[in-house]
Amino acid sequence: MENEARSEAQEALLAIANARRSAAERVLTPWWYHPVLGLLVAGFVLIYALGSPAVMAAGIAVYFAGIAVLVGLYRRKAGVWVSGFQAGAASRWAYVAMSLFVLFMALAVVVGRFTPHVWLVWVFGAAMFVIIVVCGRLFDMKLRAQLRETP
Amino acid sequence: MNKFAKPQLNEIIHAPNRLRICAFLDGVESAEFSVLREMLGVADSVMSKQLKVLEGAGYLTLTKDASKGRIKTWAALTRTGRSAYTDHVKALKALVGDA
Repeated sequence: MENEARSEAQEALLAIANARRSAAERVLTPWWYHPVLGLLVAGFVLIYALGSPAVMAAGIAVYFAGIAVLVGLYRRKAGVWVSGFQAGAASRWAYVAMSLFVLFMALAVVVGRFTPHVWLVWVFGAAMFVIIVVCGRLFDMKLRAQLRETP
Repeated sequence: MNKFAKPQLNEIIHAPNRLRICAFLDGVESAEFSVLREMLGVADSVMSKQLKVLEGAGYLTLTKDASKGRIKTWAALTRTGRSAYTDHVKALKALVGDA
């Protein structure tokens, strides 16, 4: 009786592992997703640090519209959605990207608004592009690995 | 759940198809109906029935999303559902002596 229950539980755990592997195969981010997200974030930094109020307002609208379109395309293509901040251990890469975004955003605004070194703002924007692409790839790798782990 | 209580198998989640749905959704935030149906390899009617059972238990939410004129159903575990699934996995592990 006990052996039967144990065997049934083992089968159930195997079924769980298979379902998680199916999820891991589904969370393949298209190659263009993180570069486009990186461009949107870099553009946001540049516009916020250098643009006039009218340009900033338009830029923010374009940024959020771009994010909405990007997420919609991902969801339609993958058929699944994983929030960067609710993905277990993989979320650490989303928090790293978010923290660096806050840091570079603050630096870009200070440099762009209060110093003549405008070129540095472009460096911060480019850095954000690279950070988003790298953290995005690392997030995907960690997420797939944790889904393939034993539940 | 009392942290000293022995984890119990959850009869709603324990059914094979519903267990796999919960396991898949626990790994992602939400998934589209056809993705879950494909994962299980079952008919639409079977899939709908399983999702309704989980929704009725408060373990899952179903939302409609219109894109390109087609309405798609998305499923996501609720906080209660995620917690019930986690407890169920703990109970399974306890049964195989892996807790």
